[in-house]
Amino acid sequence: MERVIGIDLGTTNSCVAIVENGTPTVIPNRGGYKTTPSMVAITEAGKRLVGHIAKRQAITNAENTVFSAKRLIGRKWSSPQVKNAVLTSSYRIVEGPHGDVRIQLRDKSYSVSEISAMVLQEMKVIAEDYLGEPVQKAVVTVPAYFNDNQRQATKDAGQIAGLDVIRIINEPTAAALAYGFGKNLEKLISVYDLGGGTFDISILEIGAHGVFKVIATAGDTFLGGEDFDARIIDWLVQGFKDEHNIDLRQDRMALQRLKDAAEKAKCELSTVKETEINLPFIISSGRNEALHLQQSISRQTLETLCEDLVERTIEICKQTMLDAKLDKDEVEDVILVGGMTRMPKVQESVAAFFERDPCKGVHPDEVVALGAAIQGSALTDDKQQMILLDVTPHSLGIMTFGSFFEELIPQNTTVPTSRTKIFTTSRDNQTAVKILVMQGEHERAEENEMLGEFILTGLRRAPKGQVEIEVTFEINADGIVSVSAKDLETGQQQSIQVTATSGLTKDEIKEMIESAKEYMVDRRSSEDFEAARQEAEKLIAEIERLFPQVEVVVASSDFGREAVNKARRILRDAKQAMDNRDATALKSLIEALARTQRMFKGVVTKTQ
Amino acid sequence: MGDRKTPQSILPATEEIDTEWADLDNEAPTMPGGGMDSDRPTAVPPEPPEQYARRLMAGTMSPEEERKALSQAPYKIRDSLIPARDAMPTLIDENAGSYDIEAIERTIPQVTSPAAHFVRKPEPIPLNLPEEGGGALDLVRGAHSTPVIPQPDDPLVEMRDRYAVGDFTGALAIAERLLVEKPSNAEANRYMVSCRDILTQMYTARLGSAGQVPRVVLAADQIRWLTLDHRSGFLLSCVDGISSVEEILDVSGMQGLDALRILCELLQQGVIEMKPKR
Repeated sequence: MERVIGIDLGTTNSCVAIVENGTPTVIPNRGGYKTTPSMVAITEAGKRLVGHIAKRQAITNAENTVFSAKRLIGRKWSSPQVKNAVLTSSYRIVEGPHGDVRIQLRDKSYSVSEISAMVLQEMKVIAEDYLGEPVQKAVVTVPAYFNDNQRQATKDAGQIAGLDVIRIINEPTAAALAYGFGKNLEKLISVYDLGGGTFDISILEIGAHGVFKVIATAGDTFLGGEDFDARIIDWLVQGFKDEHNIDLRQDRMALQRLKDAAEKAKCELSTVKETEINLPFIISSGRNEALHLQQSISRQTLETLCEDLVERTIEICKQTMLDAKLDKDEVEDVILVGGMTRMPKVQESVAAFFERDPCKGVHPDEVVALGAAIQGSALTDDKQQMILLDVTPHSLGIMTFGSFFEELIPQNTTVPTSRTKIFTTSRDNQTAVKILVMQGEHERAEENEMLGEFILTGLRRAPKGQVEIEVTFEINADGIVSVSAKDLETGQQQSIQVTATSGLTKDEIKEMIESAKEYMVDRRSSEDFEAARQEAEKLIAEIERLFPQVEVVVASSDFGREAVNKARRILRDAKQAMDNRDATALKSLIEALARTQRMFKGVVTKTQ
Repeated sequence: MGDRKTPQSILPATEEIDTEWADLDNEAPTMPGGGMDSDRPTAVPPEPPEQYARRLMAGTMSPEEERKALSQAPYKIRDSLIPARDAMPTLIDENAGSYDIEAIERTIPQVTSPAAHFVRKPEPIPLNLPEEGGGALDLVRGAHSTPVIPQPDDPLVEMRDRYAVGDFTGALAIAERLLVEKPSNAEANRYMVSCRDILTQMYTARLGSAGQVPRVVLAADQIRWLTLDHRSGFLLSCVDGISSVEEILDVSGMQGLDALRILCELLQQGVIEMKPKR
């Protein structure tokens, strides 16, 4: 059976999991961490950095480090979110050739899907290293509010990364899946997800036969752990300024260290009541001496600094419950997702609001990836009884007179599906109507996402309201939306097929796939070389250590001199291969080096 | 010194510098006073090496930097300051319980010039010498008839001289200064590129390799008492015991050469040690 990995492609961190022998497991990366920062950077030398290493240089190389690409994925250049990001991002966001969004890093512009693909590729490598076999299939999670274009862009990212994304699922659904794994539950739950960069609250209904329905979802895409870090940084910077009259923000190196230290302190304060931030030599004073930053911070201080942030999440929860017309006591359990929910103050506030203690049975950083892995396993294992349904993430409809949105297919409708509604003209003698196909939940059409448009002409001239037009929406099993409009009197008909698009053409995607493959080949070859180099270095060091002793021993015999000369040649060739970064040559010399080392050891041992 | 002929105070040109000393066939390179004979041509300063280095560096270093640089000169091993076994760029048994300081000293080039540390022959750089009579030997020979006196006021001459004696840091500093004044200065640019290349090789060799992983060996409270600047402090904060030198260079955001130099200094001061990547 082919392995399917589950990937939580987060705004700030990503996580990969797999079901092994029936147990969902998170796969740690090479550094031993179970989450990997969703960050990509290009160094001055043109080298690609992904994950922790990219995060560690995010401030010192801010212009060429992409973070929170998820906020941009699948969005159009003209969208307000993109306009906002252009103003606030440290990296350059430019318009793509199809009205899409591109990110300029050094001398190349990348599509957002390409950037996300780099993160997904890293997760794929983590899984492959762990499993020791290639991985092709994946289930990837996205926020419940993602529209079809954003989902398609995420799928494209998977494809570019060399993954077949067999299903895209909602993050809260994945969390609920992991929460309910093996329990056969039927209940209403709330998923409170406070991650690194975003906050989401979702109310889900876990129904019979494994049907997970998102009843309501809301959030703030600019509220997360980074805001908590920023408060600590502000506090430290102000304290240092008061003491030394130096603004640490003016120095990127100092700011990078502050950011790392603030995040570390924040995490520590979830388990201890006080911690110390110690940053020696953080900046040089004008008198050619380096200054240290040493400051204790208590949990109480952190809570005071971030009180309003926690309160904002609770306000969103309140509003979501109101919108969903739900009482707090109807929610039977609360699942906490995201690293920030480890903060005791957050847990207390959530417990106070929902009037119940949150569930402690799930790991906040891992639960989404675990849910994705569970779904991946269910999709490929016929024995598993869980039925997982594809639903429309958002309502589909058309724009009507007065810029209102008329819904035809409601949110969370199981696909395939088809719905029809009759509309009429809004003006006298109107001979044509424009059908604007939209997706979203807002009653104002302009607040929703436009998927496409077409015009139905040849209508009978008649007073307004007399011509009847039948509009049909159909979604097939592949998620392709067809919309048709028919003049019921004349039979005149027009239709449009809407397919979600990431803004990339097929050719572009193909090119990006090739480029990603090339990168992987280079990377694997570089890793091969590094492995060989490390082995060779150890052997060379040992041989060189023994050399003087061996020389003394064998100096008297021709055979010995010959052996020593040969050993010298092997050492020289190995060093040459290392200088030339020639993995093949180096690998071929490892055996010779090992033989030499064994021989030298033997000689030295015998003479002792 | 014996009866070795001491040349005039004319510095050798590139061809005269021996770059092969690191070859396994040979022992460490020699300088006068080093106590080892060699038939290789060497540059013999007309004064003790330390004094010679001090004079050479005087133009580019502040007194404090100079003191620091000299205190870190590889032949000056002070047990209290340098955990020499780890700091030395030589072949020492990792597992040995104790080490022979004299043996270590024998493996260390006894010159103050960083040239003594590089393991690969530097790319020769074209010097703007006349077609005829412009070779290094001619330069020496010419000294008999028309004494060539180094002109300290001419930075180009000083840059060439420093390069020729293996003071690549000094030559680089002058080349960079010249390029600030005149970015189109082709010769300065050539020297800058060559110096950077050589220094990168030297520093990398001192650290073992770019794949080695540095680890902080001093406690946080001891680190505070070191004399580091904020750049060293930043780089030290990047040393996590997991990241290799190459990765640290990537995350530092510094010029690779600067970062390598600082790592070398930290290694020499015994603040970090190098381990192979696991």
